Amino acid sequence: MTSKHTIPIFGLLCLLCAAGTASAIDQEGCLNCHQYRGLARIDEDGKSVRNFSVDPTYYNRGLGPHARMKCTDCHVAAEVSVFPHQKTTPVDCARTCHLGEGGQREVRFSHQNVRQMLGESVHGAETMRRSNEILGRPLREGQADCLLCHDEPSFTNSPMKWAQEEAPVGRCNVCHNEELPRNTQFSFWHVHARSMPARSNQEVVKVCGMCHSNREIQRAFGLPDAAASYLSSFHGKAVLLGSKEAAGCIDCHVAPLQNVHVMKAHKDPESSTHPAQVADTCRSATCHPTAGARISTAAIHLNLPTSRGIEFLIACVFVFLIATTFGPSLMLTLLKLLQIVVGRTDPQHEHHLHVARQLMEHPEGRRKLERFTPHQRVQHWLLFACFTALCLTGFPIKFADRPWAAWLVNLLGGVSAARLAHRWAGVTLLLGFTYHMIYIVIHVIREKRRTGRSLFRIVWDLPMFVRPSDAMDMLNLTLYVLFLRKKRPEFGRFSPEEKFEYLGVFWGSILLGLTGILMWANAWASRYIPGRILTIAMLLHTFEAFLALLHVGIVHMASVLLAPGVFPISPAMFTGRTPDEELVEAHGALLAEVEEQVLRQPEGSLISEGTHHG
Amino acid sequence: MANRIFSLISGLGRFMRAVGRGLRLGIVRIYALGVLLLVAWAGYVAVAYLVRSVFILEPVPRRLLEWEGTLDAAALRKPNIPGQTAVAARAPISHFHRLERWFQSDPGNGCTTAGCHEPLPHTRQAKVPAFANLHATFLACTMCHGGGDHDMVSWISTSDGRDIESPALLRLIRFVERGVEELRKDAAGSHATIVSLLSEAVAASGNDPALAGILLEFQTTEANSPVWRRAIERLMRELPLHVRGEYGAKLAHSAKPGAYRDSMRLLLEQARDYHDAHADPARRKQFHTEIHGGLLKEPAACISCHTAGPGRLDYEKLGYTARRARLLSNLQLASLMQRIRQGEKFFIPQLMERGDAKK
Repeated sequence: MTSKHTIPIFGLLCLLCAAGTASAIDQEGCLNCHQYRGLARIDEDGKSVRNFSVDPTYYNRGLGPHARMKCTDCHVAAEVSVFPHQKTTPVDCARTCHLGEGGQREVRFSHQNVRQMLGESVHGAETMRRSNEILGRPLREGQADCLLCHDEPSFTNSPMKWAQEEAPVGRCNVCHNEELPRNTQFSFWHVHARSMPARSNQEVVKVCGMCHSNREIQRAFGLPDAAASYLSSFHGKAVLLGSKEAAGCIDCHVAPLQNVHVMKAHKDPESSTHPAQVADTCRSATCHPTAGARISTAAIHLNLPTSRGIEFLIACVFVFLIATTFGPSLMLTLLKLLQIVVGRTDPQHEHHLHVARQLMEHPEGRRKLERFTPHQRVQHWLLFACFTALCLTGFPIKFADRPWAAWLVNLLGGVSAARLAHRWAGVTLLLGFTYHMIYIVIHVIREKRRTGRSLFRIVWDLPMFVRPSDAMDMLNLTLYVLFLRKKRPEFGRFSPEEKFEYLGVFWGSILLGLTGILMWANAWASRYIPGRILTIAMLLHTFEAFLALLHVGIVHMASVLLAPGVFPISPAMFTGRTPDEELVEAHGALLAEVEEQVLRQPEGSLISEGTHHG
Repeated sequence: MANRIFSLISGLGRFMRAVGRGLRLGIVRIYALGVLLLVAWAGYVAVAYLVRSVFILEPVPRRLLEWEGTLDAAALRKPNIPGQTAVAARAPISHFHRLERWFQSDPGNGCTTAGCHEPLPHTRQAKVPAFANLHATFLACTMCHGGGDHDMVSWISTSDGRDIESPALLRLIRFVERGVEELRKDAAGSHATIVSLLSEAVAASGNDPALAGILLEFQTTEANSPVWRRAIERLMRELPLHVRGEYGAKLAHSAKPGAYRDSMRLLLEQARDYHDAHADPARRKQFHTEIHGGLLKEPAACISCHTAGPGRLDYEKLGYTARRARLLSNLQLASLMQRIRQGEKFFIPQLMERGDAKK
């Protein structure tokens, strides 16, 4: 004994226990001092803090698995029974302790079996030792490996309200009174703790990521960045947004009815992620029980750059597609803005402006220059509403790691609510698309009856139909904005840019709709198609949505909201009429056509002409 | 003459119109340039992201890799102390006994906020540093180091430095101590007092879940109802468990209202002068002497407060219950600590082995 004096003071113990702040569970009276949060000091190195405080509510309310234990069950009594305490030996979690309560017989217990399980798992002693070294020895010599992943689990963060937490205990106490005494509070928490995860999925990712996102550990063990690739997948993104339902690391890497300490490497046939087992893991009762076995081929760790598979190829194709569609549109928008910056206008600009103003003063001219019928405007606003809703509910999931995404998803009521809203907005979009198709078909049938022309001809003449002449028009426009042509090409009711935008919306709606339905009905779909198709569907969906956002959010918004001729907003979708400047710039041929019909024809000989398809 | 004036005015008008037109065109062009740059930037950002997302794996967000809950001295100086004003990470490798909250900082304590002493001021050089730091949540430094008159001690709010009667928690304990039957005599008044004091205590404790839960129970209960009476019983059981120095207030010597706040303000000014004089060691020393001039060479003995003798703190007057006051003034642990400070050590075998003896 190193103490100068040994003073057995029985009275002191009584005094400490009488302090009134320690629970009966704290038999040794340690909490009399250790309950104070300020019981801490800065270490000799001047950097780290040694905190000796222990949350008293953990014991007072039986909030954790160690709440029934004495402090000396873990800490060496000889070291902590000296005042001031001696330097303590690190706690050995495999040490035998004694469980007991309220005068009952104590039970000897140890975590030795867990250590044994861990030793046989992929996280064996040698792995833990090497990891600890690479991490810079956060575990001091002699500290249990357990601490590399565990803190003391406590359950005060349960989503239940305090009163709700207490209610079941009250019910237990009806029977467990003096006649049948039990520590009901502890028992409740004991069961409750095991009926829900001790950590949230995000916290689990943090714990696993500590090693699995460490470059040196990856190099040492030949591992990929599993945390990063997981967070690129749908599950990971949902977890980042706070989902409690989406699968976390443990959900897949620990087989049903197993525990995390027996986790095996994925090459081990016993592993829940072994190719032969992974289907069962995906289809476990708590995940995708109705899915087909082929769901297991879906990418849970989506690492496009290193996969070099079909997924990577599709992503590359999309980059190419975006480069060849959005790229020219963006350049055209920029070059058109440049024309304004340098003050360049078409030589006929003033004349056309004069004509446009004249026509606008003429009732028939005004009617004929109305480019969008009320019916079409309603369809556009429906599309606008769906698109906005889809963007607001979909892109936070794509950009789940951005701080704004979590904020937006919380605002929408959580990731499940956002996902539900996204799906129904998608359904509405598809219904709108179907309606638009019916609208076109009816128009074609009417035209067929009215003119007797062939169906092919009628479809070919649809105003939004992209024809070879549109490519020519685009080329001429490009030459004009590149200062390689003096006269600006003149377009009719719809410019080729608008036609290409329409085409984008047309095939984008189909692609997004189909892939969205596939992902929505993933369990059903996986009975017929491989999970890999679902991954591809997700990629197609996300890239196509991004392409749509680029077009609408940058090119379209610049044209209808920000462009100097229309700022702050083009009235076209409110009144159907296009501002004079825009009419002159982009629809010269329409202007000339209406001028011919209205200003150069005698009043009585005007040809009664319906507007374009509708 | 009239013609000349007329032509001058009309010329001026034309000139002004031309200027206006030019100005309008200029503004349109500048605006178009702005839109051009904005669109170019947005396009670049979007395409760059797209290419990156295909060819480079997005790394794990930093917030998932940083263990801000790891306890280090620097964290104590952050505006949002992990676990106290910010969410603490559930750390592997920090503190096995998981803490929901951490050290109660005192933004009004000039000794620590002036950049001189750490919020945990007692270092390893002290004999019982952690034990001394324990007091920092509810005692001003001068209580031990200043040697003032115990009759002048009062409670100071740690949020704004004003003198307060006593912490809400202590007042509440004394209030409910009178018992359910007594409280029922003026149930409505008791209810209002309990809700008011408990709200204060909850705020001071950093929204302690147990206290917050009971507060909710009172807020959703009619005074004098059976549920209300049970809530009072629960409150009476729970409150003593929270007498652990987290009151949102500190004991300090304060000769008159506001004196402590003024002394801290002066201290901060002196500390600034001290820091500014870093190039002049002599002046620095002078400032150091001025700041520490009124302090004791050796901090006051534990028993100067925790004693039954004359000169002790009047705990009851400070708001403690009679039972607690008796305990604090006769705290034998204090005399043990005092002897430890003098270099002695104690072994108390029964203290730690009582549980084992049951076997």
